[in-house]
Amino acid sequence: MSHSGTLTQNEPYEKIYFGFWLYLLTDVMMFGSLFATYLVLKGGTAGGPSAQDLFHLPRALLETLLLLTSSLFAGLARVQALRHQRKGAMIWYAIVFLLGALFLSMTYAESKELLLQGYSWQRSAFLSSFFTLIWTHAFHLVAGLIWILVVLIQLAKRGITQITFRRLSCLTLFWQFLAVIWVFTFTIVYLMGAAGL
Amino acid sequence: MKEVGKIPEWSGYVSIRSYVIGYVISLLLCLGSYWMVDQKILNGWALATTLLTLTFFQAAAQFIFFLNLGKEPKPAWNLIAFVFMLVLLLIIVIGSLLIMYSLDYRMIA
Repeated sequence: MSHSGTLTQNEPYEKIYFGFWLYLLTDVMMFGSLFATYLVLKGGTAGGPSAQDLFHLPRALLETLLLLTSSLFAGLARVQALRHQRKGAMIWYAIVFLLGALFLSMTYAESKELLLQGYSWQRSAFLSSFFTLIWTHAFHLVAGLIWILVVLIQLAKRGITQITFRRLSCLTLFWQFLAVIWVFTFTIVYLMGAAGL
Repeated sequence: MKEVGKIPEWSGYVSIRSYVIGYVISLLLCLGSYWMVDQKILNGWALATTLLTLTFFQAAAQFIFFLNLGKEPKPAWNLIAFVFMLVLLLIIVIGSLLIMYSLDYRMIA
């Protein structure tokens, strides 16, 4: 029996991992409702700009690539943790943190541009649903960034134990779920918006 | 301490290979969708259907290769809960769209 096995072979790990999985599934349902709202309301521009007028595709692509790459790195961090490589896990997660922060700064820049042009959530039903969707995702990422910091501190202080590994696994799950949700945002909001669908 | 043996328990199952495969598939699908919109390859319903299909495969790739969905031993509770979520999600999303478009159509006509 290797040490890799013992990290995950305990009852709390399985129960907590499954419980966290269930939480994430309900989170997906919430995002699903927000996507449905967006699809229903995106035609309601009230004489204001439509998706085709507003969105900048190259930036959205860059955001997607950032999040996809960070999702990969979060997975690699977990592999390192499973091999008891504390330093490797911390380095990968530090990079995930930077990529996530970069993503958020791009979301912030986009929202700021729209607001400065006078296209706030108050302008039309389309923009209300757009901002709700984007910012709900962004708030999840902010929570993710704080969580990464907490896990990094715990890894630095306590090393890789059953408890810190469990937290790191749930964090990885959370981060990778957010990347999947962003894939849908990229297609439904940006690509289909730019194509005028 | 650093020995990596066979990992017997599914949620501990991770491999670098699986992550890299998932990453490459997602990357290709993502760039493919972007390219299709950028070059205006298709339009209308054909484009919408293709984009949504590519997105579906990309999400599937990430769920399988990143989140290890479907790799657990029986009883596969994570997978069962996931499928149940999908059913509810489809009812909510498709149902909302159907009702709202139908309402829109009837109000205007």
